[in-house]
Amino acid sequence: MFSLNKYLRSYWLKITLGLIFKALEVVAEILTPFLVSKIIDIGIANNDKPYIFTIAAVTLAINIAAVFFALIAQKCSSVTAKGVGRNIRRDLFAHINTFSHAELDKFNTTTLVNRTMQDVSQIDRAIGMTIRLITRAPILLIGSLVMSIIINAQLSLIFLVAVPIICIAVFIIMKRSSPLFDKTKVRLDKVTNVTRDNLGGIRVVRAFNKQADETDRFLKANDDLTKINLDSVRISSILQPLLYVIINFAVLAILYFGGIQVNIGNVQQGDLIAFINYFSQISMALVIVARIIIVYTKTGASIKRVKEVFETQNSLALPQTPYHFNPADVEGNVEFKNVSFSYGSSKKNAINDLSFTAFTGDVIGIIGGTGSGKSTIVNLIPRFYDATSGEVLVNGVNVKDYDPVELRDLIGFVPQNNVLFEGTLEENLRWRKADATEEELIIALKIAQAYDFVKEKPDFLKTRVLRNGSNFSGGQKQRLCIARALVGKPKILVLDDSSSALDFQTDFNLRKAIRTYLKNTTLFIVGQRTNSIKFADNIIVMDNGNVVDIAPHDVLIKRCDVYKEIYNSQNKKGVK
Amino acid sequence: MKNYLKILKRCFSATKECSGWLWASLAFTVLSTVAELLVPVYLGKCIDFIVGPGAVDFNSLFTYILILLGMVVLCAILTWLSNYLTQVYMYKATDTIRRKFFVKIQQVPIRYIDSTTHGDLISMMVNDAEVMSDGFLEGISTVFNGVITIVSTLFFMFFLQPIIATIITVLTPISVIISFYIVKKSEKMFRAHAQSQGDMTGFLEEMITSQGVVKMFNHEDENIDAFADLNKHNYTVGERAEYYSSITAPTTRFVNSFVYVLVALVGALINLRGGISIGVISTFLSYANSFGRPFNELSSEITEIQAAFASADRIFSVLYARNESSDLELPEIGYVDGEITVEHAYFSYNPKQRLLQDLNLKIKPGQKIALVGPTGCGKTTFINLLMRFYDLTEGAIYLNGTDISKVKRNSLRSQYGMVLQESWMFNASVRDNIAYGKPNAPLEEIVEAAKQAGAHDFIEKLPRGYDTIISEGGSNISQGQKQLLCIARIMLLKPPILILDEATSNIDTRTEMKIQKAFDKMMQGRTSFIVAHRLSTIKNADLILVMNKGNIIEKGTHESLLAKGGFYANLYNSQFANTEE
Repeated sequence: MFSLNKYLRSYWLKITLGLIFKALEVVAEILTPFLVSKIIDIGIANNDKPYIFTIAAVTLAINIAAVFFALIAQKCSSVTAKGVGRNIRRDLFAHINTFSHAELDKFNTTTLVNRTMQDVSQIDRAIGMTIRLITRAPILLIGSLVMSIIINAQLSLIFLVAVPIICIAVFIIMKRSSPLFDKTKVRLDKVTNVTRDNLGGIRVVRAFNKQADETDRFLKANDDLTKINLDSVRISSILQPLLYVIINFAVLAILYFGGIQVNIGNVQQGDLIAFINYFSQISMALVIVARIIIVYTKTGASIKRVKEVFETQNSLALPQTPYHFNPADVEGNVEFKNVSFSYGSSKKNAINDLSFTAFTGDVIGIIGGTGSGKSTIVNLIPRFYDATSGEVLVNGVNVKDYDPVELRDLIGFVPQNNVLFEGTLEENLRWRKADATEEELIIALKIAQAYDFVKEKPDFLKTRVLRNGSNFSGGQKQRLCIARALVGKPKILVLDDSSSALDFQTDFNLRKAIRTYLKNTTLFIVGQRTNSIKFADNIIVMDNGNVVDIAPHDVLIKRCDVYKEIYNSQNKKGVK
Repeated sequence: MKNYLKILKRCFSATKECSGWLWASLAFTVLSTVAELLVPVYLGKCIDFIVGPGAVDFNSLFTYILILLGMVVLCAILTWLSNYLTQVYMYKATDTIRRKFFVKIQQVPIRYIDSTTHGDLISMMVNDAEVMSDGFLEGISTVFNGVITIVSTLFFMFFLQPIIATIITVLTPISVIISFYIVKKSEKMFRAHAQSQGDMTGFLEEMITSQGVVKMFNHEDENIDAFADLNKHNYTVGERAEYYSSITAPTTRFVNSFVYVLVALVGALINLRGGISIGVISTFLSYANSFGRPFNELSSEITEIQAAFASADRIFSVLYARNESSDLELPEIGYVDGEITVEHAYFSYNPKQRLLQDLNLKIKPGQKIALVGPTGCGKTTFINLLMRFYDLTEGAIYLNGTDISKVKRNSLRSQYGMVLQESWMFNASVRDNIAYGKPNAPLEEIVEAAKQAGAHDFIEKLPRGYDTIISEGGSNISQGQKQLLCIARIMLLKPPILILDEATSNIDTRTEMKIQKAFDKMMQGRTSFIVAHRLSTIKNADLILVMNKGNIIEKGTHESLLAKGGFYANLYNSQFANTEE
C-alpha cells in the first residue's frame, strides 16, 4: 500500500531541520525592513550616527546568517526530495516486477514508464518546494501581520480587509482556469496522435498523395489546441493586474489612514514605510500560496497515478505452502484438465474446455489461425495467467500450488517477439542459469543453430548486444532467444511461434538438434507451418478458441478438415 | 554565442507571421514598466506630506492619492494588456512552429523519417515546441522588461540622488555574476541528470515491455538491482543539480538585502546632512527592490532560456532539413501501361555499404514479378526506389520510356497501388478508408471496389455497414479484413502497377488462401511486384528475382530456377524438405 508519509518519515530529521532553518531565514527577511525603519525613525530623528551604524551592522549580520541558514535548508530539501523520489521509484519498479501478465495488460508500458519517471519527479519536486516554501508563506504572512499590529493595530485592519479579497480573487481565477488545463491535455494528445499516425503511415500517405489532407487533419487538431490555450490566457492574464490593483489600493488606504494617525501622533513616518513594505511581503506570501496550490493540484494527480500502480496487486494468488520438488529428478509431464480461459474483461473465451496430457519427452504441436488461442495455451503452463476454469497440472501438481520461481525454472520459453537485452551476449544467454559454464552456452548455441554466426564475431560470447538486440537480424535474434531458453536443459520447452524468421532448412536442423540433445524435455511448438509440427506426437488444432481436434499428423490429415485446409494451403504444389 | 544568435534569428524568421503580436506585447511592456516605476515616486511624495504629529498636509496628500488611484488603474490595464498579448504571442508562435513542423514532415525525403526515431519527432512537436516558445518569450520579455526597468530606474535614481544611485547600480549586478557562476557549475550536473533520466527511461521501456520474458526467466531480482544502480546514480546527480540551482535564490536575496541596508544607511547619513528627505529614502528603498528584480528574474530564468535554445536547436535541425528535391517545374508522367526498365541502377543507404549494384531489368506490361531473398537483401529497397521514396545513387528507372526522376512525384506515385505488411487504417468510416485515394468517389463505386476485393460481404455484416467507424489502431476488424480493405482501396483507383510488400505475412495461411483470390483478381492485367518470404505465394510469377546482399543473383520462372538447382531451389526445397524423423 502506498503512503507518502511512510517515505517522508525516514527523512523526518532532515525535513525538520530544513523547515527550521528555512523559518530562520524568513525571520531574518522580516526583520530587515523593521530594522531599516528604526534607522529612519530613531537614528535620523535623534541624529544618532552610532545608532544608525549599529543597526545597519546588525541587519547585515542577520542577513549573512540568513544565507547560511538558507544553504542548510536547501541541502535538506534537495536531499529529502530526491531521496524520497529515489525510494518511491525503487519500490515502484520492484512492485511492477511482481505483476502478472493480467496486470501488465491492464496498464501499458508507456504509462508505467511515465508513472515511474514523470509522476515520481512531480512528487519529488513538490516535496522540495514544500520544504522550501511552506514555512515561508505563513511566516511571512503571520510575521508581517504581527509586526504591523505591533506598529499600529488600527492600521493593520486594512490588511484584514485586503487579504481575504486577494484570496478570493486568486481562488476564483484558479477555479475557472484549472478545468481548461485538463482539456488542454486531451487536445494535446490529439495532436500527438495525428502526428504519430502520420509518421507510421508515411509511405501510404505519400503513395496516395495525401500530404495536403493529412496537413488539414493536423491543422484542425492544432487549431483546437491553440483555441483552448488562448481561452485560458484570457482568464489567467487577469490575475497579476488584479492583484496589483488590490495591493496598491490597500497601500493608498494605508497612506490616507496612516496620515491621520501620524497627524494625531499615534504613528511615526518611518513606520508607514515599514508598513507598506510588510504589505508587499504579505502579497508575496499569497502569490507563493497560489503557486503551491497549483503544484499541489498537479502532484495530487501524480500521487493518484502512482498509488494506482501500488494498489494493483498481483491477481495470481500464491500458495500458502508451495509444493517443492527435487530439481535433480523431476519430470516434464503437463496435463490440461477441462481448461477454459478468457482475458480480463473479454466475455469471449480464448480457450474453450481443453484437455490433453503430455509426458516427459513428448512433442506437442499447436496450430491454428491468428487469434485462435494457440499462444494462450502455452502461456498457462508457466502460470502467466490462471485458467478461468479447469486445471493446469505439471507433474500432477496444479501450477497454482508451485512457487512461481521454481515452476518457471522448469520451463524454457521462447516468446513470439524476440527480445534480447542490452549487455553482452554471454549475459543474455545466462538468463536462465546464472552460473552456466561457457561450454553449456556453446552447446545451447549449437542446438539453436546460432553457433556459426556467433563464432564469427570477434568478441565471441562477449559481443555487445544493443538495446532491443538491434545489431542482430531478425533470424539471428530468434536463434539467440532459442539458445537462451535451452541453457540449463529445461524440463519443458516452449517455442511460441518462434521459428517464423528462420528459413526452412535452419528450422528443420533446429528441430532435429532439439530432439537429439534434449530427449527428456517435453516440447511444445506453437506454429503456423504444418511442416514444423508434423513430426509431433500430438497436434492440437485450434480454431477461434475452440479445440477442433487433437491427434498426430497422420490421423489429422485424414479426419480434420481445418488441419487439411491449413496443410494444403502450404503444401499443394503447382497450383497454377 | 554565434550559434545562439543564429538560433535566435531562425526563431524570429520561423514565427514572423506572429511578429505583430510580439511588437504589440513589447510596446505595452514598455508602457506598463514605465508607469509602474512612476508609482513609487508619487508614493514617496505622499510620505513627505506626512511628516509628524500636526504636520500632515492633508490637502496635498489627498490630491496625490487621487492621482495615484488613476495611475494604479492605468498601470493595471497596461500590465494586463502586456500579459495578454505576450501569452497570445507565445501560443500563436507555438501553433506556427507545430504547423510548420508537420508540413515539413510531409516534405522531407522518406529517408529522413526512416532514420529518425518517431518518438523523437513527436517529442519535438509536443514538448520542444512549447519549451522553445515558453523559454524565448520568458527570455525576451524578461530581458526587455529588465532593460527598460534598469534604464528608467537609473534615470530616476540619478535624478534624485547620485550617490545612492551609484551604490545600487554597482552592487546589484553582483547577484547576476553569482548566479551565472552557479549556473555554470550546475550545468554539468543538469546534463548528467538529463542523461541519467534518459537511461532510466530506456531501461524501464525495455524491461517493462519484456516483462513476460523477465518473468519466464525469473529475472526480476537482477532487474531490480540493475534499476537500483541507475536510480542511485540519478539521485546523486539529481540532488546536486537541484541543490546548486536552489542556492541561486537565497544568494541573490542576500545581495538585495545587502543593497537595501546600504541604501538605508547611506540615505540616513545624507539625510542627516540635509541632502534628501525621508520620502526620497523610501522611494530609493523601493527602487533598490525594483532595480534588483530584473537581475533576479534573469538569473532564475537562465536555465529555462538554456532549455529553450536546446529545444529550438532540435526543432530547427528538422525545419532546416533538406526537402525532397523540387518537382514543380517537372511535367506529369504521361500514359503508363506498366512497362518498366531499370538501367545500371546503383543504390546505397550509406556510402560504405552498397545495397544495389548495377541492376538491369526489363519488365513488360502485365507481368508478375516476385522478389525473393533473405531479410536485408534489398527487396524492400527496390520497391522504395520504384516509388521514389528513395532516389537512386546512379542509373535510372524508366516507366514507359520516361525517366521517373524527371516527372512529378505525385503523378508517378499515383501509377502504383501498394499493399504493405502493416495495413494502415485511419480512424474513420469503412467507406472513407476505402475512398482514401479518391475522396469524392460515389458509394456505388466504393461498393463495386469492395465487391471486387471480396470485402463486400463482411462489410455488410459490420454493425453499421459501410459507415462503421474503424477504431483507432483498427482493433474492431481482423488483420485479414484490413488487408481486404486495402485491396478495395486500390481496386477503386485501378492503377496500372501493383506492389505487394509482404502483404500476407501477418496473416495465417488459411486466411491467406481466402484473400488470395482477391489478390489474383487485383493483379489481372497489371504489372505487379510481389515481395514475400512464403514461397508458395509466388510460384506462379512470370519472373522471380532472387536477391542476396543487394544483387540479383538469379532470375527466371519457378520451374527454370528449380531446374537450375541454385539458391532458389535450395530455399524452396527446404520448405518442403522431408522433415519426418
